Amino acid sequence: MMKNSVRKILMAAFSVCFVLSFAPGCKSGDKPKEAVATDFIIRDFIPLDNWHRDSNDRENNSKFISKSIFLDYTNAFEQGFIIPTVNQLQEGQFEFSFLIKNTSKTPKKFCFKIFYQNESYKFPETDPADTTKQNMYAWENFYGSWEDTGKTFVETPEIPADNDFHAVTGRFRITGNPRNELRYYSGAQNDRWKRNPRVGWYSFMLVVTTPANITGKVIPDYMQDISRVWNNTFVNPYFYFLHGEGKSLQNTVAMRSPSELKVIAKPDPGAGIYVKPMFFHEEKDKKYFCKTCGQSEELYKNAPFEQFIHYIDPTTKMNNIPVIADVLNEGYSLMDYNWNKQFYRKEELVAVTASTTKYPCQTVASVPEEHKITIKNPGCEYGNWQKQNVGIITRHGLTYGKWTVKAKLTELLNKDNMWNGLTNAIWLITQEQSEWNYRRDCNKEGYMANYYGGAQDKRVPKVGYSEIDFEILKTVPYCPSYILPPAYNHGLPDPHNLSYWNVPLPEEVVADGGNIEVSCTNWDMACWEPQNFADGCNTIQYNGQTFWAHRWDKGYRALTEKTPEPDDELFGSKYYYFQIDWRPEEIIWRIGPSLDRLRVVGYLNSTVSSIPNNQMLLIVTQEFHNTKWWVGSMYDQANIPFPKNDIPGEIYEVTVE
Amino acid sequence: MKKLQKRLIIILSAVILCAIIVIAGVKYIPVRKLLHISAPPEKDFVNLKQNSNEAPDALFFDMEIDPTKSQSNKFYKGIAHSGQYSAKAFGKNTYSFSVERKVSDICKGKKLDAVSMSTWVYSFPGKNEPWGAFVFAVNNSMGVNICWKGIQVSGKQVPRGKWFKISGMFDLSDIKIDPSCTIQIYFWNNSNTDFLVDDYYIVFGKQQERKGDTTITDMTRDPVFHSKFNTPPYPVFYFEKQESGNENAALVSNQILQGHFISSQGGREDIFLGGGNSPARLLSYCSGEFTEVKLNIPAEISSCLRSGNAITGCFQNSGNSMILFSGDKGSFLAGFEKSGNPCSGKEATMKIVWRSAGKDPFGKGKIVACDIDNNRITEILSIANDGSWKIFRYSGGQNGNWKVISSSQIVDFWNNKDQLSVISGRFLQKYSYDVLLTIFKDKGSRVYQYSLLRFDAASGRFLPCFAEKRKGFGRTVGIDTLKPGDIFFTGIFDKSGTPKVLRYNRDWRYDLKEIRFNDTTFQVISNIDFKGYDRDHNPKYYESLRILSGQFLEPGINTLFLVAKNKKTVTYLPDAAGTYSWRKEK
Repeated sequence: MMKNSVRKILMAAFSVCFVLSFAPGCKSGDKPKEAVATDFIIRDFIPLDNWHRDSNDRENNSKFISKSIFLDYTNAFEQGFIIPTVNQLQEGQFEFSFLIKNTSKTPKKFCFKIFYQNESYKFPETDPADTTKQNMYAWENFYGSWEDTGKTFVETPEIPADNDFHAVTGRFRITGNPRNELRYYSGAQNDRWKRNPRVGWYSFMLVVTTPANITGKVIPDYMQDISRVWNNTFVNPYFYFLHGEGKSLQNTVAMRSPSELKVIAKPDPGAGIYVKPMFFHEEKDKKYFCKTCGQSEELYKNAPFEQFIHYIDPTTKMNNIPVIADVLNEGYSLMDYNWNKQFYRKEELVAVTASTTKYPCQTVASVPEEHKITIKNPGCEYGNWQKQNVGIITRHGLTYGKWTVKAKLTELLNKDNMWNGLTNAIWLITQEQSEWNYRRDCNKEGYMANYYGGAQDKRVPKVGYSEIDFEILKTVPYCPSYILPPAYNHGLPDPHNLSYWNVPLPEEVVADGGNIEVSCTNWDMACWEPQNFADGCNTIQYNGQTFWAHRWDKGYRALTEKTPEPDDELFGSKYYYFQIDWRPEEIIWRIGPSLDRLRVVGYLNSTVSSIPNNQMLLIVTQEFHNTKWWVGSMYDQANIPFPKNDIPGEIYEVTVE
Repeated sequence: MKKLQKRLIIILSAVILCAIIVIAGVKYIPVRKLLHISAPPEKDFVNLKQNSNEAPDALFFDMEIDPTKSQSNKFYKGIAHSGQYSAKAFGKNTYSFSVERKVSDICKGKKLDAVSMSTWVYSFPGKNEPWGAFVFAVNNSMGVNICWKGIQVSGKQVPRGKWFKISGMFDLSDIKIDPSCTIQIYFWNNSNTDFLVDDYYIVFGKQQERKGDTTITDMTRDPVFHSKFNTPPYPVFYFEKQESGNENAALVSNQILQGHFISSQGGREDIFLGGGNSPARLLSYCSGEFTEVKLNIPAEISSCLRSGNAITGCFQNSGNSMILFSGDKGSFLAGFEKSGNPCSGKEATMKIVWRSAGKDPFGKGKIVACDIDNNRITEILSIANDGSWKIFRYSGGQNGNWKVISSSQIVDFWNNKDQLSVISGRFLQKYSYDVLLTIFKDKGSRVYQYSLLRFDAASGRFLPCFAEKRKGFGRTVGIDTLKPGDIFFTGIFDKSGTPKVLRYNRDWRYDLKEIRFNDTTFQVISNIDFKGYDRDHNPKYYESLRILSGQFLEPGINTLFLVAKNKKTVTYLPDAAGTYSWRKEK
């Protein structure tokens, strides 16, 4: 890998960039620095020498700039994301280079190793209380080096002591499970997809030392081989070399490149929808299968989405009015609602739960030409009463990220502000609840073992369940506690006294008529570890905004914030953006008409709620909730008609960065 | 130690202990919270009517007080959520105006199982942190508090210097609350921040369970619906509103009759409006709207329209409908002189063609107009209380008279019933003439029964249409039972030409269904609803809905003429009349 000749071209490029350091792409302060050790000097560490997309995804051949790359979904379902793939770079690896000058008196070989770390979604490397110690969560950061962790430091060819810089090059790629942890293996197979590379900015650190420091274990084994642990924990090389013992090692330098790489996941909604055979394996199930939706090998390997099949909780059964109506378009009013609420006998009702499709691909479609997915809650007719949920789920798990969905989901309210019963949900859910995807231990009382159940259920230290939600529906706010529930008068079924059965809603509910509640929830499984863990209504501040977080009781598994927003704006416009910014220590929910006009509608952090750190998938759904989940709601799902016509939604973009 | 010293120490200790108990009691036991608070008399309120909210089981207090009354010092003028006054709770351990009610007065026999309440609160700005509660308390007949619930308002987040609403609901189903108990609702200020409260709204009780026993159709057990005979839910068919104009003339009439009064038998039916305080009117559908035909009506008829009963029918072979009035002063038969085209604008003159000479020839029993022998002439069936009957036919002509064409022995179905209704109509397709649907309840029975009878001219008897083994009774299958108060409409409602039977029941809610009689029973085909009305003014929502069925818009096809009214004027649901035609789509 070493090239003995001085890379004059490289130098020339560097010089040009240096001169143009105030030009776009060459950030001020990117001026190469030298790292000086007793026997050598390092400079011009270029981590992505052969990748030429700048941070705005434009072709740019400058060397000392930050760059970006989109995750390649080809075959990523089975092998995990690889950065870069052979589709992106012929050699399938990034090439890095640096210059080294031997300042000793004799020619020598040196040893080097490259490290990368995701910077966007990491814990600081040092303990905030004692910067000489590693942050207790820094080992969770996504860092890596050579894919083969057994390949420790690599020797350079002999570098002459000629007072000149010599170029050294190497290659690497970013893959999942970079520490090759057995936790992510299935038997002998390293399932790198179980710990996929995170999105966001990656930094690169070059460590150069002498062979003696390697063979003499001056640099310890656990730093030469990052798969090894020390004191039962992994040691983050960024901590070790930049803040820990490695910082002051003789003849060892760690150079962090100012150039970084931005990794973006952008699954194409037009690239197909896979259908899991576990739900649908009979031939009759497949009548709506097509090239872009089904169970073909091609879709299995490459489709970025699946049809989402909801788990239907049988306890959510409700006795629904037997009315079929197009609430959104047929002028369904509160008076209609009130009459239907009062004047159907039990015998006339239809017992249902929300349902899921019998025929996959009937209610979801991937449209390659428009790079979109369409979904629809099917309309129904007499005898086929159903409130069918619909949605899609991504197939490639990620930890953290700014998950942005551009979508036009169905309007929820009609012009009389009557609700059609649907909840539009954009949410993240654990990729699997298996051991490999367990969340960080909860060290105070543990997590509730299951996501369902009561407050007195079993607690366990580890759990695989995680969920972060946008659930948008017509309901009421929970906080402050003195507003819940509104004082409803449910009226009486007296048809000869209009004011007895057609009772208006409370004035505050009417005043909020055109709004829907954007509910932002983190399922922390009632882990009591956060220092400000509490039940009831409590405020939390973020950038001058105050949010009310609500938890029913200390055994309740989720913390929710609600913000009223106009239905017409979110779902009546051409599209809207919904963003879950899931960070190691906080979650920020944003919405807006465009990416540059997002506003914060929810905020939680690790002082009040355990933030998940396992791998999650994105789901976008239009679903019928039993309103017993939404205490105080003005409308009961059971009193809302079955949909007469299909209720469509469209998903245009999904980006995780 | 001397005895005296010991005593002194004991006494001193006891005094100190008592003092500690008293101080701790004051501090930690919510004595004031549980105290009975006397309320100002509610008659001091200005808006007493408004305070008794229209919605059921609810109280509303807007705090608008007569300032001359003794309790006005409990109220604050100038800062109010509504009106001018609000109730004060100034200073620590103070109470606002308190609502007091005996449970027996608010629950009227029902269990007080929940209370929902709301009020508007104004917390004055200041340094002290506010702490208050909107309290619901129950004292038993001995004055002992048995329930205390509060909606707490406290903390730094409480808005200051502006009105905000608080609300809550308390489930009381676990608490034994006797009718003799007294409830109190008030705002308790337990802080040094002053509060105002306004517009109490209190709702007693939980949402009532729906009527009925149990839900029958369970799609979670079997996702494929198997329709069962006479088992709901039924399909819904719709009648759609037609633009016909001027129907609202019917709103002021309490006598609405239909028939071919001036139009010919093959034409559209007219609507004759009488009674009430407005003059009689005749509406005929011309050029897309109901047009009022100029009338010339004898005063005698006009007065009778206001008080008497009227039956319509084609009592003569002219094909035109006539009206048989019966009142205190006897009966008379009247009809319009033929005017040709009802849309010609010509005046229509009504004339009396027959008058009873004193005593009504039909007796005092039940009178049914029917064409029992398919001769297209309406006969009058008169049924006496003992089940005996006579059939009258009008002989026609200038000196016409009613003649008994048949009479016979007692019909058991009509004999001495607790409730009885006899309706004529084309209930069975196999008979081209009217049959009689008899619905009744035997004395002492809770069961409604029914039968279909047809007149057999040869034997001069009424014969049951249902199987003999059931002794002519029709079976009732399912929860839908025919009732004597039901109104039936038969006829052809769409181009298919298939006759339909509609049954309208208003015992409870609006309930219009299409049914079909067969040899043993009746089958419920569908529910009938409406489409095309203005805004959300579905006719079925009105407190009163009168339905007529006739060929108002199109010869040969029945439409419904609906007159929908409420007892009081309601701006969001104004009284309305309109015509509705069968709509093809479900």
